[in-house]
Amino acid sequence: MNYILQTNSLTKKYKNFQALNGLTMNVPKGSIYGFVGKNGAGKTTLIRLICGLQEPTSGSFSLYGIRNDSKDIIKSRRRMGAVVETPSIYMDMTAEENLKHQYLILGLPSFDCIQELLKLVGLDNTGEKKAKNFSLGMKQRLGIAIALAGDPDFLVLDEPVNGLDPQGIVEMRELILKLNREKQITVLISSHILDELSRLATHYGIIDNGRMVKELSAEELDTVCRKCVRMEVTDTSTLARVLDSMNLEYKIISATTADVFAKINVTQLTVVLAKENCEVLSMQEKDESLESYYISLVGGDNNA
Amino acid sequence: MRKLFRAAFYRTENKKMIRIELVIAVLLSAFIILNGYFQTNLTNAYIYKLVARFFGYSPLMGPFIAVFAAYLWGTDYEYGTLRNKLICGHTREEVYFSNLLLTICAGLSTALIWLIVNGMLGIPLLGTASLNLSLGEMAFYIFSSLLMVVALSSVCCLLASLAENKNSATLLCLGAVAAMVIIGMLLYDRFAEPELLDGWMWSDTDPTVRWHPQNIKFIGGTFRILLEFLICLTPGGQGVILCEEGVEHLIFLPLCSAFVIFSTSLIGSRSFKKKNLK
Repeated sequence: MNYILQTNSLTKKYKNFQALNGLTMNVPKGSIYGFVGKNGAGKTTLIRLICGLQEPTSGSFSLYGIRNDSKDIIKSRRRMGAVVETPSIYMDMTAEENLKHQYLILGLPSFDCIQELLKLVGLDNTGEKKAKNFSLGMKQRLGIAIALAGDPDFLVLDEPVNGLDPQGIVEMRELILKLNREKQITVLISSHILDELSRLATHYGIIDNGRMVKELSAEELDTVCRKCVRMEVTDTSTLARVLDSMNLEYKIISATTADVFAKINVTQLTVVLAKENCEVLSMQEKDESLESYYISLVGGDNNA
Repeated sequence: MRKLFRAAFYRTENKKMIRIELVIAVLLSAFIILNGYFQTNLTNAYIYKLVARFFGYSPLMGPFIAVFAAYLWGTDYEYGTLRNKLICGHTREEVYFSNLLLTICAGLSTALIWLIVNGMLGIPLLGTASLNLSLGEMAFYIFSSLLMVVALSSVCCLLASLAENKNSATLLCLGAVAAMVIIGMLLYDRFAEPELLDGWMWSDTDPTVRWHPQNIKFIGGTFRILLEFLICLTPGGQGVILCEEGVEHLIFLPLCSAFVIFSTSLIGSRSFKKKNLK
């Protein structure tokens, strides 16, 4: 698989606090990578490291295959855009002025694409309004517009829906999907709002205490979180035989437990199992979401 | 760096704060010359030396540069816009030196405005005689004072880059500038002590005898050279010594400024490179 970003045992230590502890992650090209973790898990620290705002204590990462200790890392950063924590915008400038400023930083020859960019993020009608008078959602979108100014193919968004109202969240989601689908931009999003993330992400990385707990694709998560009936029986080999004869999909979990991925006729199945001398001890419908999956991985002491 | 400089220039060119600073420089400069002119005419006893007014801006440049540098760095830290520059591939050295260059430009333009207003008003009103300097000396003084502005910009740029937001950057820069001027004044006061005091002695035979006792506060020898060097080394002190025309070793002026520019730029760019940014 082609990866945009790969980290290898990345560690960042502050005076008395280890923010990243040997983090290893892989962001596939073209994906929307949902980066999930508790407060202080190390999400923003990782983003700061890949953006070049801080240096790792040990370990390494590569961006477009270029390692962070190479001089060319600066060139590869030119292909990425980022909004870290709060949108990086001048409050005393209009949206257009902010973009002009960013165009000058990038050394772009003309300001022709600014209106197009403003339209893309839905800020084309803001006129002379200063950024300080924008709503939080507008500021976030302006931050994204600035990150998009250099036409990047990798966008890093740190908590992009934090503090947004429901309308703002929907708009942000649509914008991210549009960028990913229409412009083929790979997106790395860190977010607390797992439900929202599950509507977007094609890949997930679950981080806890500076370590990657689990990295999986949306398909893999779907498999893990599939709606199923967890059955506890006296003999799973009999259960397997019966389920095979009924053409039902299942997964044996242990000698007495199995997950059945189908809508089953409980009476019919119990009768058939009884005839085969297999008792049904319990039956429970399971519908795991990203949230419950996350909690099952990292524990539920703190909120995500 | 050219791209960053152009962007920073775009950001500041139409800012109200910059225009206010320049207007204050013009008004203050004009006020000082006019005040000198009227006092000379009214009292007829004291002739204002134009050169002192001419370089009167030197100690006053500190606050101008401090506010500008703090604005430039402070807003970048506070709004997080520094990130935009680094993420899109500029090195930290480029960021540091582009901000330094812009601070120097702002400082020099304020100084030049002061000098122009002084020249345009001061020479017709107070006359060229009041300059009491040769053309060569004058050019050297102007060059040295402008170099001092560059040194002051370097100090403020270093301090502002160490701060985390606009308010702390402003406090740090203004505090440092004030401290430099105060230290400079205190050192200069000691440096300006005359070798001999002017005194009168009364006795029964001869009631009024003028005599010149040795001033115990006078500093001479190597220590005097060292003290002058120290005064010149703080841009604030150099402003005071220029304003008071107290320089004994002219070479100290550009030499000390060059040292300050080099050392602060080196320290500033190195520390900024290592700084953890948010």
